[in-house]
Amino acid sequence: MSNHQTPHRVVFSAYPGVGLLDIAGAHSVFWSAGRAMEAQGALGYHCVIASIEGGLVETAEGLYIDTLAVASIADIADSPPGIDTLIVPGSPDILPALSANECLIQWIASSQLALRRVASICSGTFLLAAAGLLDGKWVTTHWSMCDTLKSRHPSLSVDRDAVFIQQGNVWTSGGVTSGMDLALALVEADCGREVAMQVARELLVVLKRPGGQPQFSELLCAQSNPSGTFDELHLWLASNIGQNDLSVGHLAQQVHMSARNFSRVYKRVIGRTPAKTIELFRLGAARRMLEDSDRNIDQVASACGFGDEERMRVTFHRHLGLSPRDYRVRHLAGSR
Amino acid sequence: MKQNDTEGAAQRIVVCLAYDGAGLLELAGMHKVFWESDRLMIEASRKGYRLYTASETGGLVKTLQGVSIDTSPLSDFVGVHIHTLILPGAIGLSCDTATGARLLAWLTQALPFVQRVIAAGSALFLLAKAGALAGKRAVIHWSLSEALKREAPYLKVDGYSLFTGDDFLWTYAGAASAIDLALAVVDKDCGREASIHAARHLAVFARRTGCHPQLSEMLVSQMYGRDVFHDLHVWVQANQNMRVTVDRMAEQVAMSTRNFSRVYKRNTGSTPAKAVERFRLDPSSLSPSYRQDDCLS
Repeated sequence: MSNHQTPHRVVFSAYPGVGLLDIAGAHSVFWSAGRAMEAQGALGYHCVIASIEGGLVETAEGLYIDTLAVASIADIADSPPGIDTLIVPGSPDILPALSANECLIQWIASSQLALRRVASICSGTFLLAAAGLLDGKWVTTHWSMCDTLKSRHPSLSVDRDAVFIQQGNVWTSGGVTSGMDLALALVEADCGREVAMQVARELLVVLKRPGGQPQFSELLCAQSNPSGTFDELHLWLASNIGQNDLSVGHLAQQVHMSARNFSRVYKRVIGRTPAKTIELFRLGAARRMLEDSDRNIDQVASACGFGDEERMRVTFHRHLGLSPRDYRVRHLAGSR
Repeated sequence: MKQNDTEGAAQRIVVCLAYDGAGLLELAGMHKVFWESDRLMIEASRKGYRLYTASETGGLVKTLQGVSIDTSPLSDFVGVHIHTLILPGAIGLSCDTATGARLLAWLTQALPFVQRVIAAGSALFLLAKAGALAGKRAVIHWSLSEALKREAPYLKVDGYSLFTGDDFLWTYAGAASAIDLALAVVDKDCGREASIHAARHLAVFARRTGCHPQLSEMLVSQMYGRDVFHDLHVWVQANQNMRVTVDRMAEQVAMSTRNFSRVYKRNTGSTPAKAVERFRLDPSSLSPSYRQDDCLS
């Protein structure tokens, strides 16, 4: 935790066409965390939305938000401790936004020297890349834009399988709501885990996602089938994945079907066996826990319903080509 | 008027009513879901959404988080057929204020022409006064459910679920669950394909149904061995004179009794009933940092 005499100054860069939810998600996380900190008598966050010209800016969703001109926050930027964190949100139409916002890109490039850290949300990664902040770095962006990012900036390692990535003092995040996960991680780094969890509870997020998660969770993928037949079941399964005696019979019971009939219907609707789904959900839960907690491998194996370490190891090798231990090491190294 | 009718057939008019202190995240979250769905509907030449943000007099409105947004005056919507009216919650929104009274007057005359209302928090009090909640069920953030129960005893208040929805009234509990609600609404209006499209574009973790608990098991298990029951223990200590039951404790942490008992036992190693019994004998037994020490060792 820092000993600044003033709250952390968090600046969001707005521009015509910016994604409103990209801003609002991260902004709300910092705002709630700031209140929690102030309630404890600690310094919170001071959030500012800035644009090149200031005044009303039209977001992609059509709503206009009020902003300060970057020139008017120059005194904040120049006086110590300056801007603590710069957040660069994305746009659903990022390519036209890039060519329309040259000045903003220059401002990002020029202001980065004085910052403690900079973070992009969603396709905001394109703006950071254009400002030259990402050369040679491992980054992520909205899943639908990963190929475009790579082709425009071949020096980047673009990871489509991450909610967010930290590289030194530069952070990038995946699609829209991933920006909230990134903001929660920044809050956790600043204010500790308790405050981050308190914010997560207040906003009613599903869970605090660690960075190395696929942008499409195993749960959302399972829920993306055209019929909604097993949506409830998949939610139930995600919440009960720790039971190590989970069987196809248990799942069948949840939907009031015989085991045999359930297996048949499930396979037809979802395109894979229920046992496979259980395995994928366990894998997802274990990945989160390996990244997000200090629990040892065998504790993770048991908490995620694998029963023993060996079964978890086999599953990791099959899907990710590495052991749970290597997975954790890789993610700890990646976030440094 | 003829023109309005044709427009109504082409697009669903969604009006979000904003006032000072409304939450920016819920507003932005719902906007984004409707907007993404609309994009898909336009491509398919199907009926989508047209989004407006309005306030009593129009102009800038300062959200809870301090970000100001621009709005159209309500007078722009006279005679407009509103398909979905969104009323976010706001600190300070009350029928007792002049603004609240004027909004109530507008609501009372506008509601008969509105097909669907989405509301949360303090906006539920306005709706109650407008007579729109009789016999309805509503959710509210778990930290506020007691207050609403006192204010509107005839309303079925649910402090457990993420959101509710029927043919007319939809309510949501907290900022992030407004996204879940909007996805469910889109599902109903435009079909599952559209809601999946929006969920994937937002990269949400899961499509949560209404009856999903506000504090998911997944979020709770992340608090495992840390602060999950800290607030609860503080609350039990502060209510020493009250008869604390397992049901009341479960309600306090927005869990079902069954789930609460299970999670509590896993976290603290004792059943909630045992913990309360021990607490009666020795009030210091429920130290807020209970169990934290053995986790660190």
